[in-house]
Amino acid sequence: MKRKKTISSLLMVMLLVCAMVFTSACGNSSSEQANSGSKEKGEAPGEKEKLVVANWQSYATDAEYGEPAFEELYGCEVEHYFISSIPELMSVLENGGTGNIDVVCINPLYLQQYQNAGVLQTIDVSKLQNYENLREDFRTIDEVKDADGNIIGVPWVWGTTSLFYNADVIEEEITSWSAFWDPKYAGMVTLENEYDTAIRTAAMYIGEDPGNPDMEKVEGALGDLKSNIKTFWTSHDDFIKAFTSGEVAIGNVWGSIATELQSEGMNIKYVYPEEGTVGWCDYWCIVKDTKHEDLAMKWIDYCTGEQFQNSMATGEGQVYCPVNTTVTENLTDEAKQSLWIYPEAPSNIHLAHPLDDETLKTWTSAWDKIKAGS
Amino acid sequence: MSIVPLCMLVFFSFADGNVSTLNGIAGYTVNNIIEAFTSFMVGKLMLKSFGIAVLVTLLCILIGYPAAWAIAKIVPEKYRSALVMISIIPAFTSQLLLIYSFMTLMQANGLLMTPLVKLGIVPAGTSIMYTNSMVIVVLVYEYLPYMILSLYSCLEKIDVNVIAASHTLGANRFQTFIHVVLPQSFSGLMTGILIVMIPAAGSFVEPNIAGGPYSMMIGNLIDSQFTTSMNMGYGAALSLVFLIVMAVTLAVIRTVMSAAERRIGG
Repeated sequence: MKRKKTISSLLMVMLLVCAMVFTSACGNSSSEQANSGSKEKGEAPGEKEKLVVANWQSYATDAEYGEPAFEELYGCEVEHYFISSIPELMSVLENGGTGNIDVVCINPLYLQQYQNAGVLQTIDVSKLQNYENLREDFRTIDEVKDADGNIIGVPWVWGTTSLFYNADVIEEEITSWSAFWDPKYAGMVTLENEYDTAIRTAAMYIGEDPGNPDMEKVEGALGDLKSNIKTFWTSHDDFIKAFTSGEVAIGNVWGSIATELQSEGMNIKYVYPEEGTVGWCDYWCIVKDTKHEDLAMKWIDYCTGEQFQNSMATGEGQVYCPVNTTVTENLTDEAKQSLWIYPEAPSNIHLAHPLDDETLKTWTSAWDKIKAGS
Repeated sequence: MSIVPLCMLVFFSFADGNVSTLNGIAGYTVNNIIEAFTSFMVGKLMLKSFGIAVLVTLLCILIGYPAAWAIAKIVPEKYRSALVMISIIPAFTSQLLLIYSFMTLMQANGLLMTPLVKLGIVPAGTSIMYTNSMVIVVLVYEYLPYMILSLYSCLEKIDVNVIAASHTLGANRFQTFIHVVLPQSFSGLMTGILIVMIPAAGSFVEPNIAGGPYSMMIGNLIDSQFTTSMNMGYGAALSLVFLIVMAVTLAVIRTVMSAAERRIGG
């Protein structure tokens, strides 16, 4: 009897441990990362100068042609701080990240938030050799300018979230967003679980201004679309799983994922519908009061330079559309095809732009309502 | 100590909009709480989440009882600890890994569906992926070990002689279960219900990954307040309201259960 008691109490302890392990596994490790990010304080004389770059993991700069190549070129050390979410990065920058993180990759959707929080500094673009060579429509958007018109962000990579379809399953050629709403494709459609792209895509379909659509019409259109949708995908892996298992055959996806699947032999088509497409562009910003401003400028120049941009567009694994126009022009047709910019890049790209608080609330709650609806 | 986060949750429920670590709280409002209590959508999602949680808990009980009984009473004693370990090993893995591996098993052209299609039982391309059923199945898979463990800890203590006595005195299997086994495993059942139902009701990862367009749960709405809508005050208020609703529901369940326990046990 005694032994049984010991076993059962042991089991209860194990149960508790399980519960604890389980709950902690569900949480995220952002606080740990935040600590490791703020550990480094200056460097002893004689040591190599160190630049801390905040970017998403596996996003070009941590590839061979990024961090190691830059370190060798300038005899410095580069440390990556991997962003796990926008709110987390924001809080790191507001707390201890300022002064530790030197350069940060930001989407214009959030640029003004960072600017308002006072964590960014202006960039003297006249000191950047490659700046004039970057796609003009991307470097002149309003969001990268502060109140006095000074530049706070430099574009380095862009892409689209456009229409894909599995040509093994869908034989006709698709050229319009209206295919999503076609009853033929009921239960085959997947949309990115992201309010901004979804709303602007629906706006293009119904002929509204994607930047400022009539939300009632958009809600109606997305509500109608729901019965055709199989799932909303939330991450790269999530999408790959749904596509490769044959669960979905049409929807919207990032160009880079379509490239990846195509290079693996999938018969995936990625098209820019006639109504236009949704695009994005990421920017480099310099964190206020950085101790390594010169190095940070060199980093930005390097990441927009021909060597890096070309490697980024043609390298192994994931490839990205270059912002540098010289690089774009000199790409081979094959490289352009794999980036979905052959014969040329689409011109009617609606870049994601930030929304004021009121609109943001309307859009996000509309999206919640659409997803919660039956 | 656990009271501190709870107080913080109550406090932030009154924050207007987002909480910035630098600029702090923009203002205070009761609108978050009012909206969380009165919104039709919130009510609907809570009811749905609760329904899913109840279903998951019932399925866990249905599968968990025989499993725990088999481990505790049927298999030879020397295999017991090994079997207990086997049933809880999945719980040591990352939650995300569990979900993904289970999805690989369940997807169209997956390990489970391929033989069914080959045998002509279901048409090619069918699966329960991206449906509410899939969410429920995944949740049962995730939480079953906890139910088995808490039931096992009670069932294991039941004296086999009492069961034998019950049979000798003319009770059939069902009567023995209701009058002998159930009362003696009530505490384990209650623990199991608590451990399974609460997290299941608050799930948001499973409906996100394994669910379809109609699988949104209250956890997803709360999640979106922190990750996309950037309205932490409302997110906190939603969590608080859901916490209250769950606490009340569980108190009711507890009362009903102990009343039932007194009736059948007495």
